[in-house]
Amino acid sequence: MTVINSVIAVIGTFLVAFFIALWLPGLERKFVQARIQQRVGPPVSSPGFMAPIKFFFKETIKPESPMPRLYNALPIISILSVAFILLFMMPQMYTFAAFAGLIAVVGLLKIEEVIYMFMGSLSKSVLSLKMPFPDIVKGAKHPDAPRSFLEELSTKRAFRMIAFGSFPLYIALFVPVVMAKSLYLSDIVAYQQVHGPVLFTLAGVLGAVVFFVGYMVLLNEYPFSILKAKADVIEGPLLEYASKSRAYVYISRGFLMVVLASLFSTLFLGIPPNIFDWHSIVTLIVVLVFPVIMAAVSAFSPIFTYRQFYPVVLGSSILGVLAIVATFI
Amino acid sequence: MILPIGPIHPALKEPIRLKLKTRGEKVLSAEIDYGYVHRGIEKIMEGKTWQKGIFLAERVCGICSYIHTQTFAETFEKIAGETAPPRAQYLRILTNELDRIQSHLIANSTYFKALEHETLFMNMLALREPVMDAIELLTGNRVNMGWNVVGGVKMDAKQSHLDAILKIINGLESNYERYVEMFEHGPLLGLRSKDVGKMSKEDAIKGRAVGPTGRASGLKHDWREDHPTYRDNIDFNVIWRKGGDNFARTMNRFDEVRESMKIIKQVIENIPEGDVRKKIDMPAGYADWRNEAPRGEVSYMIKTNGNLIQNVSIRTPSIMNIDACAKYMLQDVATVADAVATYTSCDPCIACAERVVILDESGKKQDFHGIHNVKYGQEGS
Repeated sequence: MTVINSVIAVIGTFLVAFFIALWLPGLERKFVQARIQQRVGPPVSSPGFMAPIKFFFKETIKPESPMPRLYNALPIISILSVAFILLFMMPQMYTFAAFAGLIAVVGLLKIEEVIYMFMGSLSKSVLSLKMPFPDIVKGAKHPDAPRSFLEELSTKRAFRMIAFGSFPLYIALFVPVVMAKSLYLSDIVAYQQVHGPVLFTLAGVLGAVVFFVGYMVLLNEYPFSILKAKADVIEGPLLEYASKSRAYVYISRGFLMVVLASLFSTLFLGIPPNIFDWHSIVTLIVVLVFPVIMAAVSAFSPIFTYRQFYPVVLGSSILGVLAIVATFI
Repeated sequence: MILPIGPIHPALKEPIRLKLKTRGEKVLSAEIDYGYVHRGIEKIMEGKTWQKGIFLAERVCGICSYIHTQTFAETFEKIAGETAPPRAQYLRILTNELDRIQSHLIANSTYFKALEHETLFMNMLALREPVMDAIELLTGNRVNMGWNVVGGVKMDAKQSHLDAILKIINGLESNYERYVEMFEHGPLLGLRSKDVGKMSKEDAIKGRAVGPTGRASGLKHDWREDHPTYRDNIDFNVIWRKGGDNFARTMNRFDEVRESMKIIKQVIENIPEGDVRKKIDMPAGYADWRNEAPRGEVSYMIKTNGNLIQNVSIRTPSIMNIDACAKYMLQDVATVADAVATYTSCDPCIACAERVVILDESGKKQDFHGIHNVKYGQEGS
């Protein structure tokens, strides 16, 4: 009976999270960004829910890529890695100790990040490939210069994001670890049930701020969306995705929003996602509040280049280190 | 590596290829390719009457279409040795300044789009919309107005129309400052704009930068100062700055909008009564005329036999600004994103810039009204 209950809880939580994930982009775009920009905005179902459905029924187009099958598989891998994080965050899965720990979470998040590098390397968009280049006929001055693709630039950016961009998030993740003196999610949740939420400590507050910066960086949201800046690399690694693959990209992003917010709820409030626990209403609130704050911040921010990105990441990382130091006070 | 931006790219309003020579993220130099939207308007004009030619002139540019018809008409008026009636001259100024406001607002909105600041981008477009309504109220159309004729303007404006335009301008003025403040004092926007894409005064002279792009680099020059109607009747200041960066160029446009609002108020207050059009007998002849378009100096050189246009040369500001941008602003730019923002900050209009230069390889001296007889291959031989 317990096993059946656990299976129902896991599947139920998973489905609820998936359903919410489909509505978050609409919430962000319609009720925050559009209101700030004094416009009506899209229907709330459009960006996250209807758009993927629409893309599922579009004609499947072979992407301009040296390995189109692998390229199209990457969004599915991304969804799977995010789904696994959610799966092992649920209390019913804490028996799989090796997976229900911070090391596994960090590893799966890193997979999510590395996928952007693969996407960028494998996308060779028509926007830079098909035109004759360099235009020797028109007297171009660089006939011997090797040509590059817009996506190559995003690959370099993705590499830098892996190297330092997401650093604040990972530091913030370890604030509850240091407090609970354990890498296991079960121990971190149990610690907070005894001592109260990590968020209600100085270290927790600092860690939460740093976590939120990392949340925005990992979601590639303005001002940290340098990876897919429309002004230069257009959609970057996602440029060649169409039809079903693009639907997976949309779903993956919405799902990541839910999962990261749930991770915050687990690590900083001690409330893991579980539909059989009424405390999960707090997780739901966090899931809804995070995109709202993110949308408000991004509506007032231009996109950062490295000149602004480095100081923000450095500052956030220092704050994260201070949060860890504060756990010892 | 060479990174191609365009000809089809969301950061570009019109097709052009911006080739950035990069090392990692750093842009070392840039090269620009034209030729994707050349329409040969000057050639099409040849052999047509001015009544037809003026409609073609209006289609040189899709944003600042108005000033092309005014310059076209004033060139013909110069050939005939006539001027438009005073009321028509005032109405021309009114339309020109409304057009300048909408052009500057869309230029700045495009710049904010390049910075991916969607809120200011949307706000600029929202501010522009009532100005477009004012233009429609005055001329009957929003973009291709068909408003100017040789000898004046097509229709008179009622006092109620002028009052409505004044109301729109007052409304714009009340909203305007907070948006300018958002840019001027916004720390993140400042970080993205200040000291990016710098062009010194000397470089602006060498690159022949004009309009707000040149004025933001310290070139205190505005053709409105030399235009008879402005010079004799309107009190206004030439807006210029020393910064020479993206911030200066954007702020220069913001300040010029403010100045244009001041001019519009003066025009509506002092507009004389009288005719708006007079009949002009066109003799054969040649003349050139310059005006200050929203992007800078626009010049028309026209030769007519009294009936038909024999030759037209149009020089638009964008060709000079884009050239200056590629040569001086896009050197050693820190990132590709900054390079695209810099390019956008000089408000390029590609449809304007797609003009033909005749490369005369024969070595013979030919008369192309002074600007087109480039003796290609003759230097150093």
